[in-house]
Amino acid sequence: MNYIFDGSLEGLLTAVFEWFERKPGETKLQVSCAHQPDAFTATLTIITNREKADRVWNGLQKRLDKMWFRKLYCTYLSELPEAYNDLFHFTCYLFQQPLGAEKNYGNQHVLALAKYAKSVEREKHRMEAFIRFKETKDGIFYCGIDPDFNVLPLIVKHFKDRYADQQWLIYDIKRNYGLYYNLEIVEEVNMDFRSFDKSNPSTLIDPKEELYATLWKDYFKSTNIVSRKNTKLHVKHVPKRYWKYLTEKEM
Amino acid sequence: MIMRIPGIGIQSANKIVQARKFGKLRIDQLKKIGVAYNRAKHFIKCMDTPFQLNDFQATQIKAFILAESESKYLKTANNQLLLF
Repeated sequence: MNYIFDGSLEGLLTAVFEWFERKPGETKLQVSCAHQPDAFTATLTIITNREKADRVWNGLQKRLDKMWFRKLYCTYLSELPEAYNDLFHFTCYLFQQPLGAEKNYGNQHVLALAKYAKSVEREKHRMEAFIRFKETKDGIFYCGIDPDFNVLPLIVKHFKDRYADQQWLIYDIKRNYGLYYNLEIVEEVNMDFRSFDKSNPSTLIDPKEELYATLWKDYFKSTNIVSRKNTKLHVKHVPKRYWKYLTEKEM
Repeated sequence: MIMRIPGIGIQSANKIVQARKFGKLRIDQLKKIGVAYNRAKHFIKCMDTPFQLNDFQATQIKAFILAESESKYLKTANNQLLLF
């Protein structure tokens, strides 16, 4: 039996509700955009229902402690189709067992959840470390990021506390949405890049940026010890896919 | 006590202790938990380990571990046949 849902958290919770209503047996949860119809399995399209999702959500809150709740949320943010399936089965398993079943690391779905949550938290930690802002002419500090998972909701608090007196904008290029902080609140924004003049980026960036970049690179050049270079160890701490965010790597 | 086994550290030991409340663990579950099973298998018994008649001595276990190793520093002196 295949359950197709729209990819939202409410949709997933509605799917859990439907599973308990109908009890179809072995089910697989798939996102509607990634779904390929199979000749031999029956399918059911889940229509997201807010009340049903709320009931499942409240039930989950009674059963899970804060740590596991966060793991659940992180797994949802990973946006992987296998993660959605594991999340679905984990929730169904939780409701079937007595309280405390999330500690059963023998269950494959519990293990999968812990694994995905760890990856997402790792990515969030790295994003907090490697995001470098560039000041634009409007005085807003901008950074475009390209994370593997949807970590923007997780990094909000860190940047709001850290740069509380500066306007910043972090934009997720992959998922086409961003967060803009205007000294009071953080709000979600969508930008249309087609109207921008890509050939001349210096019209948008503040002229002081180039000076700061030169200063930063000079600092790195002066503190760097060339004979102690260990690229293998370095890549372990700063994986190569994050090098595009760092000014010092542009040398 | 579980942490004394090579291949099992703090995280794996905690997960094993919590998971054991729900039933015996199998080899594939242990591997998914993150135990270095190749190192730990000489010292533990899971629900689905194959049956073993004898208990191995420490020297025998050492021989097993060395037999699996791929170290370039390990010189095998098995080329020469014994005279007696």
